[in-house]
Amino acid sequence: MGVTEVLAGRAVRRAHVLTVEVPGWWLARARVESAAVARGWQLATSPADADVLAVCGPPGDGLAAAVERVWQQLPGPRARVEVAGTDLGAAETALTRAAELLQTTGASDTPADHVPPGQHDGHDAGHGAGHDSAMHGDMAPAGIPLAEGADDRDGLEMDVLAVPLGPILPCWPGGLVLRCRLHGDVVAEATVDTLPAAAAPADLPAAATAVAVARRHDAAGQLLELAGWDDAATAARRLRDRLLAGEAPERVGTDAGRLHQRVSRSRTLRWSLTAEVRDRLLGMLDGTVEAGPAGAALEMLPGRVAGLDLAGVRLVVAGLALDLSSAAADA
Amino acid sequence: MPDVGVVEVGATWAPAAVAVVAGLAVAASALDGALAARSAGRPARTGLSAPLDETARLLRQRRRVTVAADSALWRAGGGGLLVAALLMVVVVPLGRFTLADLPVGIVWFNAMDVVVWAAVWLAGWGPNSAHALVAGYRFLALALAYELPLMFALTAPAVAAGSLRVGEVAASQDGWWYVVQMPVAFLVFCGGVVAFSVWGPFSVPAGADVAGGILTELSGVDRLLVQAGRYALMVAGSAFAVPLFLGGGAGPLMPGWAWVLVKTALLLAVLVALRRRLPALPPDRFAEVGWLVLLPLTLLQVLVVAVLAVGRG
Repeated sequence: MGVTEVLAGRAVRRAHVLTVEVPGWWLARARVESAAVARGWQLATSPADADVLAVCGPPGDGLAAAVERVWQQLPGPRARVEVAGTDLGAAETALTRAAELLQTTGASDTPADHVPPGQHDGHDAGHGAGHDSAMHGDMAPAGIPLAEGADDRDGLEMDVLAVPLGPILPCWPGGLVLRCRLHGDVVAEATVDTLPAAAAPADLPAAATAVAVARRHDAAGQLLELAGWDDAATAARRLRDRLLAGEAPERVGTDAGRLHQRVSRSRTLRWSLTAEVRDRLLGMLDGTVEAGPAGAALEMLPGRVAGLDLAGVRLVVAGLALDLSSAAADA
Repeated sequence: MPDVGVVEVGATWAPAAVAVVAGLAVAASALDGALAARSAGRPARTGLSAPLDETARLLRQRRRVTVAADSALWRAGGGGLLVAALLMVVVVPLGRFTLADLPVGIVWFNAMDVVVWAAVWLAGWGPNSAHALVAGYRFLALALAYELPLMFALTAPAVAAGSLRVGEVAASQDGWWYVVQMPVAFLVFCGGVVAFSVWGPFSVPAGADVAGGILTELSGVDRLLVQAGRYALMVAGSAFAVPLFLGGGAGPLMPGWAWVLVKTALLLAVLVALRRRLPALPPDRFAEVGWLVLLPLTLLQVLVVAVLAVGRG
């Protein structure tokens, strides 16, 4: 066995997975996360960080195009897999296939550096406003028009950046695109877009209560991850996985209570999160907040995020625990 | 100059120092891997190979270029972390031996930790990516809050020892380590080390809410350099705390150099584990703490130390 194979073998033991959550398919995404962590794999934070792109559910046209662009940004060696079911078996099959692909994919796989501007969904930004794309020779280095200026919330003139958040972003509701105009890292205004799924999952499990409780813990895990507390986020995901594995909510209850206690006692969190976000987080853990259909929350979203910085926006969106399966279907 | 018994070894020993830093950095990463595995419900030993596997993965992964990236500055920033860490270690005496017994060793360390400002910001600026740039500025905001308390925390042992020479500071703690005499300075120093390593509660510049921040666009060996640099900075900071606050090579039975390594490793382990305990501190909120709580506290600490030093004559 040559050095290359040994290196590949080692590398595959710790592959990083970027998940794409198709609206309505959160369960498939949760299963992939669970199966990945069980293998000792890591969850990627961006396309550059990822070796595996796991598309959870069948994306509609808009989302499929975004998946294609993000796929172009994976540095490689890389593997793309589709997860077609919401059971653990589907996730494990997909990841096993990804591992095989990663092991064998070598020089034949062409990476895509120099991704054209404006094609960085969720992770990169073209400068300036999208609608003002007139090129002015030197005023547009590398094809990117220079930023426009505008007054920020304090009346200072700032460069304006158009940055889309989503649709492919970890700890972000599947199918949601928030097109932000940023002054520095403060969102001046935002518009909401949703990218629908091509189909809803056909094999949703029957034990609805356990799944709903699991869903809450999934949302709490995302919020904790965004608050920069990996360990508590991991604990929330573990509870989710135990519930999804069929353990009765009563049996998981003790550990859930422990996590709730740990989070509610954290003085740092009380100080660092806004009261609203913290209440949502604790509600997710004790059951007073349920993930729900997006509807009205989605319409109010641009108003709620205006004036917040990026960290604040992420926390507010995660706190809403939006389910876009119905909203995206209407769009 | 009093004879404090510190011997300057030749530059031929520099590779050995690099190897020690690398060894400790790998150990720190393995410990983090083990703790992460345990919290994810897998046996802790399965996480021990994390540094090996991750290094293999990143060596195999391709490098990546973004549109209109400022490549030169991006790479300089990424490599700068590791360079700053190694330059910090130059003035840390390993028992009786040091690479450079600078008369201003403490100032040198401080200068290197300011180099980290530039390195992290450049790593954010370089890729021409909104998330990375935001992260670069987040680090500067944090740095504005932690740097002055850190500087005064460094001043305290120097005032007590009446010297900026690291070896003399270590030798002056005769049986009464400075960590006992100046606990506030020690804690603030440890906080500063965690902060310039972009770690744990100070990891907002590499946070999940900005898709990895300074790491967003990094792949392959470039990412490896930055991650290794973060661990190396934590190693260098822990190592520097030993002569400053933990009595240097003082200890029974074992030779001085062994005690320095043991103390460094123990402090390093505590700092690594800290990540599991605390959520991240938002830079805007932390600025308040830095300026209104930590800075007055460290000034008070220096005052107390100075009065004691004058009292001793």
